[in-house]
Amino acid sequence: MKVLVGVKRVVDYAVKVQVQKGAVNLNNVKMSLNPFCEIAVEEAVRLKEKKAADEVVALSIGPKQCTETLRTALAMGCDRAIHVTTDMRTDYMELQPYAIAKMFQKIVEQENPDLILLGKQGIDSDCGQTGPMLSGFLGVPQVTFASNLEVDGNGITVERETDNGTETIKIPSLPAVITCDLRLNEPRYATLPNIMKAKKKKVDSIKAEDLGVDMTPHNEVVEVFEPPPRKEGVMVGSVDELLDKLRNEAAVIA
Amino acid sequence: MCRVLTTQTVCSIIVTRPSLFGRSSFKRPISSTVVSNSSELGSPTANDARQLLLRMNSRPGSVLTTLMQDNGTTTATTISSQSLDKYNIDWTKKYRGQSSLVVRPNSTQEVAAILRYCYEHRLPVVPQGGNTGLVGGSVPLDREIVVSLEKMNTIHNLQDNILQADAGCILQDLQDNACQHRCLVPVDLGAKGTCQIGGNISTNAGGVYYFRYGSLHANCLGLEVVDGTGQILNLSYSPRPHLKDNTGYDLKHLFIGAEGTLGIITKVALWCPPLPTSVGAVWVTCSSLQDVLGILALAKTQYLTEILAAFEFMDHKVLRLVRATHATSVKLPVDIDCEGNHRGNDHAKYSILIETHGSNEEHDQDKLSAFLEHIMERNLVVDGVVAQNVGQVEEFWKVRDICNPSAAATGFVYKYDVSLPVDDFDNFIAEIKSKLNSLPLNTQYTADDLQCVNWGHIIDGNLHCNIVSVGKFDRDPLLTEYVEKCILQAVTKRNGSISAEHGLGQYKNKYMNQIKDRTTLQTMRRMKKLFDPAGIMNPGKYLPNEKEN
Ligand SMILES: Cc1cc2nc3c(=O)[nH]c(=O)nc-3n(C[C@H](O)[C@H](O)[C@H](O)COP(=O)(O)OP(=O)(O)OC[C@H]3O[C@@H](n4cnc5c(N)ncnc54)[C@H](O)[C@@H]3O)c2cc1C
Repeated sequence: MKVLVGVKRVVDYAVKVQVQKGAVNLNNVKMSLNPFCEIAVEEAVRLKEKKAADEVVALSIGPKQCTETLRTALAMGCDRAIHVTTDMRTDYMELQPYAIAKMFQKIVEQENPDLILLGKQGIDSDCGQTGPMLSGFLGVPQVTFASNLEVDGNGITVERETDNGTETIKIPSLPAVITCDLRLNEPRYATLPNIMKAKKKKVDSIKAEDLGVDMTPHNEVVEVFEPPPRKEGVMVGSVDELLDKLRNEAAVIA
Repeated sequence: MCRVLTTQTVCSIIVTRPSLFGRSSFKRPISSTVVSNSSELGSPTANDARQLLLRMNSRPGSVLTTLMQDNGTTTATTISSQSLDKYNIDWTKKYRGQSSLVVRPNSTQEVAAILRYCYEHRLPVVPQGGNTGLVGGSVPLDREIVVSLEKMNTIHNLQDNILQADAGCILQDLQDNACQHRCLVPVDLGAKGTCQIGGNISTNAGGVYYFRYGSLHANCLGLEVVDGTGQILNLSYSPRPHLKDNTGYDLKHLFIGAEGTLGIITKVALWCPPLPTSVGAVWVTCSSLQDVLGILALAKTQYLTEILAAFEFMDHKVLRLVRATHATSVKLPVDIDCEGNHRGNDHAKYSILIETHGSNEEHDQDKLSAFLEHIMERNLVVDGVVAQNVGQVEEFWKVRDICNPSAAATGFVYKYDVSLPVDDFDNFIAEIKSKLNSLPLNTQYTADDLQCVNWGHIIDGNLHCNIVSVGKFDRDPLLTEYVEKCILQAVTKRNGSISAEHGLGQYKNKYMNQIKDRTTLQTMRRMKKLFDPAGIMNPGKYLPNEKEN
């Protein structure tokens, strides 16, 4: 089985973003592998370690620094990488999920993977659209929000998280698109020897324009703003005061 | 962005340990022996409590005491002696005072009023910050009045990289605030969630960024203090602190590391450099201290140089304690039992945590990468991991920060904080371990009951050597005496310091006679008299008992 895994470069989740000139400021800001993509990479590598997969290819779309993000994926155990280069912003401001999914489709047509593993969403735009759109373009089954994944004969059985609990879905045959949720696994650290090995792994680079995909955004971003600052809490002096406030101010207890 | 975002919950660790005290000497009646320098100091009475409450404008909660009968008219100040435990017992739980009066001022004027009253009435005072000090400096020896700074926690200003704040601000709150202004508080240590900046300055705390950003003597630009007579001194604090200010004797330096023996620090101005926009971290394991030192030298002088921000070492004995006591809350970045790939059957015995700070990620990564390649080629490392995001950097530090609490959760910790030439770390540790193998017969322990675990700021030549009596949470006086003698000898013979960064408090002041000459000590005493003529400030600590001189 061949696995293609999506690797998105986003603002590190520990960074407090700042809005400048109508967009999130990306200047001199720490960027990292999207945490949900990290989970997808981990799952792909585990499939390889279980001998269920024989090749794992990482794919990233974005500026030249995406090679660093791809190196992380390679150090975690992916075999090789493809970098689709573009200077357009990938956080919805310029390139949007529709175009990204179209580019993925082109690469899938070249690579013919059996399984496409993506994060359930990018933590920059939080859209969660690339996976579903890609499966639509390819005409293959999809499962979103995977929290467990078991290779099962020619197919895959996936548990997915829903608001009501866990849903188990069996995909009888591949290819398929699966997007990964937080509880699927706990990603490993990149070890020194693997970081060194990753340096020697192949990263193919393709210009985005050469894929022949319409990259113009279909949706217009009307406004970007920071969430209003949280109202400061108050310190209460005693349990009685707390009870009083809960009863009379917040009216949450009788 | 910066790891100061981590929430450290030192307090929660404090309460989980069984209590353990009972040094008989703490139960002495006050005025006779506790106060070494001024025998005429007294114990506070109900009237003193009432008078101090008046000076706090009778604000509820400003005075906590067991001395007064609450007549129900003024304030709820009268509380049980148990609820004063928080102020009487220190973080290590080795030291316990008997204070029945705690005052919590909320302005410099109130601090001045308290100290003026105590000066006039010859009442002894213990200034208290977060109470995380490790040498028993922040709790009373007996019934001294505790002045807690916890209500003075306003951040006043951060402009041009200069932070101005009340002394009672929690270090982590300052870090978070500075971070939002893209500044870095140049001091960081495991107790950051509880300790206060006034406590940090008063202990001249070192921490993990000492090498990179310098000591608090370098970074503290101004202080406002109240001396032992109740006078307010403005030591380059207002109207505006400056990076450079050569006007007169720089008295603020005397308060840095004075452990509350000269007065109370009420406000602090701190130099906060720009927040590094590129932060990296690696965790590597080594099979010998020799290799740790090899890596240190290469990092410091050749490969990381100006981007090197922290270099901490931990032995795997302490990491086993971390694993045993905090299995569910922290994850060790590497397999500490793993055998070396590079040197046959060498086990990894030490871990190193390295952090880099810079402003250009590509540049820093290139440097880090060349460094790592080199130390791997030279077979200096057994194993290692490199943080790929900020979350992983924080995970690494969580392990380092939990070393202290893990030792404390394992047993009583005979804790030593020494400065040594780094080349001596190995033979020093070996010497202490061998001494533990020949314990005097009269202690209740054998070598098997004790574990010697080590970690520290090796880049500053600062070793934290800890002897833990596993499962036994009481201090053994005979063992204490034996171990302290061994440590003192081992340190002095290597021209080291017996207190690198934790200070003296009531724990190490007795050694001052052995390590400082008479003239120097006498000058220190004369200097103290200048600020604290009645000897009311933190008596019986820091300087040694005069009679033993
Ligand atoms: C888990 C842990 C890790 C630590 N790591 C380090 C480390 O890496 N490096 C290091 O140097 N130390 C370390 N320490 C010890 C360090 O000294 C303290 O954590 C900290 O600096 C003390 O601050 P505090 O507010 O708790 O002061 P306290 O413990 O309350 O007081 C310490 C001393 O200062 C005096 N004092 C406090 N506030 C004032 C004030 N406003 N004016 C005058 N005097 C005052 C007290 O009287 C006392 O003598 C560590 C401690 C713990 C528990």
